[in-house]
Formats: sequence, structure tokens, C-alpha cells
Amino acid sequence: MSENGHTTNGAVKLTRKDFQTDQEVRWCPGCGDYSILAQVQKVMPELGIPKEKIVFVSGIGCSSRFPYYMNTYGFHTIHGRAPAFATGVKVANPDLQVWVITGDGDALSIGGNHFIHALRRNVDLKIILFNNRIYGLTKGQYSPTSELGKRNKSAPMGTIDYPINPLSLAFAAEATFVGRSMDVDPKHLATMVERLAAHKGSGFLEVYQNCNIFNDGAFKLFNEREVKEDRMLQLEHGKPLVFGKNKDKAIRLNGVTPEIVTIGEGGITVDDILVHNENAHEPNLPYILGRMQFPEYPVPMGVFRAIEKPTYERMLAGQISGAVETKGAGSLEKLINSGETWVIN
Amino acid sequence: MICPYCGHNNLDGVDTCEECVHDLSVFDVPAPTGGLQMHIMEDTIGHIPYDRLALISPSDSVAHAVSRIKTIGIGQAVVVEDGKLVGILTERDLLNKVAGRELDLNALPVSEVMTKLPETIGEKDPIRVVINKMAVGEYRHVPIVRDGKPVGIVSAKTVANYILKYSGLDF
Amino acid sequence: MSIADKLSEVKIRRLPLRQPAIVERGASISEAVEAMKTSRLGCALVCERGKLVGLFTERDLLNKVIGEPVSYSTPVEQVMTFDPAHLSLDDSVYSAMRLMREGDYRNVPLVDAQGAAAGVVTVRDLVSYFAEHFPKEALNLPPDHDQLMLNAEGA
Repeated sequence: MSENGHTTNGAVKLTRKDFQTDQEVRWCPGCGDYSILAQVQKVMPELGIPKEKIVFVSGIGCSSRFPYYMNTYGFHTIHGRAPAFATGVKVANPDLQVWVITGDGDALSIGGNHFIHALRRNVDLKIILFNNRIYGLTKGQYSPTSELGKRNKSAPMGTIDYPINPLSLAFAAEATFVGRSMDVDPKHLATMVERLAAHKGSGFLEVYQNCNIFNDGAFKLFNEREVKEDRMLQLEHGKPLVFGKNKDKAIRLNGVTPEIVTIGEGGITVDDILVHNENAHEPNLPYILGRMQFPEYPVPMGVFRAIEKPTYERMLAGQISGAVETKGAGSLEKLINSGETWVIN
Repeated sequence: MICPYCGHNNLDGVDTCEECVHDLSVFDVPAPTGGLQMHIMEDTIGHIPYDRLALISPSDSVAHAVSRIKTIGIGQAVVVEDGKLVGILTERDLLNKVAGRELDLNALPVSEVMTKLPETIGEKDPIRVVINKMAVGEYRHVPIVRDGKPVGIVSAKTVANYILKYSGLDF
Repeated sequence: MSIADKLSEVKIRRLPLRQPAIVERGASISEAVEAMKTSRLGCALVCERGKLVGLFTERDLLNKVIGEPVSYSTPVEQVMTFDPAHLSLDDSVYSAMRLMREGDYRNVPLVDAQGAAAGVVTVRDLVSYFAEHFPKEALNLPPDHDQLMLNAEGA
């Protein structure tokens, strides 16, 4: 890049301000969404993609106010259907970079079905799910990720719903990129957003986000700054799963059950420790990691799985161009007027 | 949340207490509690020492800007046009865009090396805003403006010293 | 644990530090500059036979090289600070803050028990570490700080 801020091909380098809009950002004071917005706005200029090639699609919820605050193209769509709209956008115009912003209520309640199929089809979408374990916008009802027994407005005696793990669902839906981050670790979040942006195929990032009004401290037990090293596990490809303040605790697989061991005790050495592999074709191991929950295990964060497969829109474009080669470009007019038609007076 | 007036255990986020009907919405938003947390929410930028300013114009040469910065003994210059802030020239800009290259610093205008339109803060903003700009925005220097005109600069060093001062560790 | 306790008990090694540029004593200023640009930090640690011998920072670059009659092929040891103030990874965050304030430093090199370079802690690492303790007050703010919301937003 030359000195005057222009890239080598003459385009002006974008800055974070270019991605800010003039809309008043209306989340509650202290909301974790601000942190996620800041990191996404920070990463966007680094991608080197012009603003008119980026689209943010959202559903309904606090998370889904996101497109108003990004100075790119955006769609604020209907509840749970963001992945469906996004699939349409991407297939119609494959050189757009399409992001889906959704929440635990929007994606896993009403939107569960669309969520599964968008991931299954491996459409090149970047889905960020803001998981605050509550319905925030509608003021405090429990969501599909709220803990069993949680007392709130729609469950005054405690919920009797068993929650779902978004990562498990993403693995089941064959997502080719699965990651997890949180709002209180801005640097990690920025790295995860970059990885998600670079991935080609269905990408899913779960972000633990604190709703300080209706579900304050939902993740505090393990993600508070002072305890986070002991209660969370950073996943790095090719590196052993080690955690703890002194980096002496680790995860070992006993059959299919993970165990916490201490390096140096009981003859455990670094060679006994499970090494993370993001690129394994089958998601068995990442699935096991995704099931690890506090307090029995440290909560894993980072990229669980990142594999490459031909994407839906590429294969579709391939089929269309193959058909055009053999049969010629079609005419919609002719197709509509072919076969049996009637004129009604 | 527990009502501070009557002690009733309410659900999270209710606007009024179910027992005594006191307004609880004020307790949900972040409020100053004490110690350093209170300081960063209530103290304003006006409370901390500003760094000295070196003012240059976008058409000045980098050579002139560098000589001014060195004379004043600081590490950056604020770029103004018609009195209004338009950019900032820092050591990092010099490292990334000037150092190690064959350039005639007398012919290179500041406008080609400076960081354009940096983030700024006002004198009435609480300290937590500048902490945010540095921790999240990753800026090392944040100019203070009044009506678009720079009146000072806050550096990360000043913020670190402020934290140290109110941490209760200094005796 | 109050902030005071945290700062004085937490060791520097627990901060997420970035890898600084490390060059050999005989390296030129231009090599140090290129290494600094790649590391995206404002300093380079200069080592000899595995031990830290000097520190070259952006401030040295500004004051001693740019606009001065010094060629970039000059050995960096002629413009670096010899035997810089340093700490170890096991020193407390508080000690790093004290040292930076007393010496007016922004970068403090870290060495291990053998005197070998073990990284660097910068003033911004300290500000970020502090900010992470106050996510609601300091991290979760709108991009335009003039728009600070005062009340919780409803539907």
C-alpha cells in the first residue's frame, strides 16, 4: 500500500468510520452488543472488500438491529427467516459477502428450521449468533438456550424447558465453520470475526453476549477476567488443549469422555494431551468439545471446525452454466408460455 | 433482582418492584459504585493532565513536522486546517510510512502520511470513554476537541498513570 | 478482589502479550524497522548471544534517525538504549505500571532468569487489561460516544 492511504489498485483504503452510520445506536447502556459492533466495524476495513459488496441480513431481536448500524447494504427481515433471505441474496449475487446477524431466540426458536438448512447447504454465509440466553427485545422471556429452572417473566416458577446447545445443532447441520467467542474479550472476538470472514462456506460463530438488563451475568461465572484462564479453554489448531493460570491443566480423552488432567501429576505428560484439529473431516471431536460446559469442564472458545467443501452457490452456478452450454440460454418468457396455456376473458 | 427498598426478590429487568412499586429501572444500567469504577464513570477528561500540542498543517512538509515535534519534546503532532482538526501524525505513522524508505522529507506533505480524522473526545466526556477508545479502538493518542478545535491530547501513558493513582496502590 | 489486589498479585505473564521484534546486535536500523513494522509493535529488542542488550523504540526512531543525518544501514546499536529497564514475566502488573510511570516508558522488555528476551509489555496492554475488568462501563460503549444511552431501551 502506498503512503497516501490508497491501495495499490487505486481504491481508497477504508477505515472504521466508513462503516459507521449516522443512526443512533439504541441498545441498553452496558449491552454486550456494543462490543460486538465495535469489533465487526474494526475488522471490516481489513477485509479489503468495498462496502457495496457487503450485506448484513438480520431477523428480529436486539441482535437484529445490527444492519442499521453498519454502513453497508442490509436487510432487516422477519423473525427467524434471516438465513432464508441470506441464501437468496447469496445465490442471486454470489460475489457479495453476506453476513447473517441473529440471536438465540431468532435462530433457535422460530428460526431453527432455516438455520439448519442454510448451514446444511453450505451456502457461503457468515452467521453470527448473539447468545444472551434470554429474549431481550421482548423484555425477558426465556429462550431455547436459557438454563433449566431459570426464573423469568414467562417462567415465574422456573423454566421446565431443557436448553439446546447451538454448537451441537451447528455440527448436526453440517456447518463447515463453527466457532465461539464472547463480547468481553474484544481481541479474541476480532480474530474470530476475521476467521469467519475468510471462510468459504457456511460459517457459524456463537458469541456469548451479556444482556445486563434481563439476564445480567449469565456467563460471569466463567468469563470474568480473573477466572477466565482457569475456567475457559482456548482452542488452537495443532496445539494441545491446555488451560489454567499456570498452563498446567489439560484435556485428555478417556474413550469418548473428556477428562481434566494436570500436567506433571500422575505421570501425565504433554504427549497424553488431546491435540486440537480444526480440519478433521468428521465433526466428532469438535462435537465432544462443544458439549463441555462449566462447571464440570472449562468452556472451550475459538474455532472448533473449519473445513472446505464446494459451496451451494458455486455448484448451482456450475449446473446453470453446464445447462446453458448444452441447451443454450433459456427464455423465461418461452417457458411460461409453453405447454398447455389458457387465456381467460 | 433484589429490591433495595423492600428486599423483595424480583425477576431480572422488571421496571418496578412487585411488592413496593418503587422504580427499579435505574438499577439496571451501569452506575458508579465506588473506587476506580466510580472514578472512570464520573471523572471527566478535564480531570487529567493534557499532553502538549504541536499544531501543523496538512501542507507542511514532514521534515518541518518532525522538527517541530522534536523541539517540543513529544511524539506526535495534531494536523489542523482553518483551526479544525483534520488529522494526527504519530510515531507509528512515521514508522510505517516513512522509515526505511528513500523519501525526500522536505517535499513530502504531512497530508500523505498522517492518519486522517482520528477519533476524538470532549472535555466533558467521562474517563471511561477514552479507556474504550484505547482498549477497543486501539488508539494510543486521542485528541481532545472543543468545537472541532484541538485543545489537548490524552496519551495511553496518562491513562495508565490515572489508573495507578486511583487504584489505591500508591502510598 | 479489589483492583488494587489484582494489579499487585497478577503476574505479567497472564496478560495476552504480543511477540515483539527481536534483532541481533549487529543488525542495521533498516532491519530493525522492518521487523517492527511486521510485529506491529513500537519497539525492537536487541539481543546478543541470546541475551537482551538493548531496546530500540519509535521514539528513538523519531529523535535519532528521522530527519537526522543517519543512514538506515547504520547498526541499530548506535541509536538504541543500552541495558534498558526491564522486568520478568513473573513480576506484577503493578510493578510494570510503576516502572513505566517512573521511567516515562511505554515499552518494558521482559527477560527470563538467564537474561534472554522473553517479550515486551506495553502501556496499552495495561490499559486493555484494566478495561477488561469493566466491560459494562468501558468496553460496551457506542461507536459515537455522544450517543451514550441513559436508559434501558424497550421494544
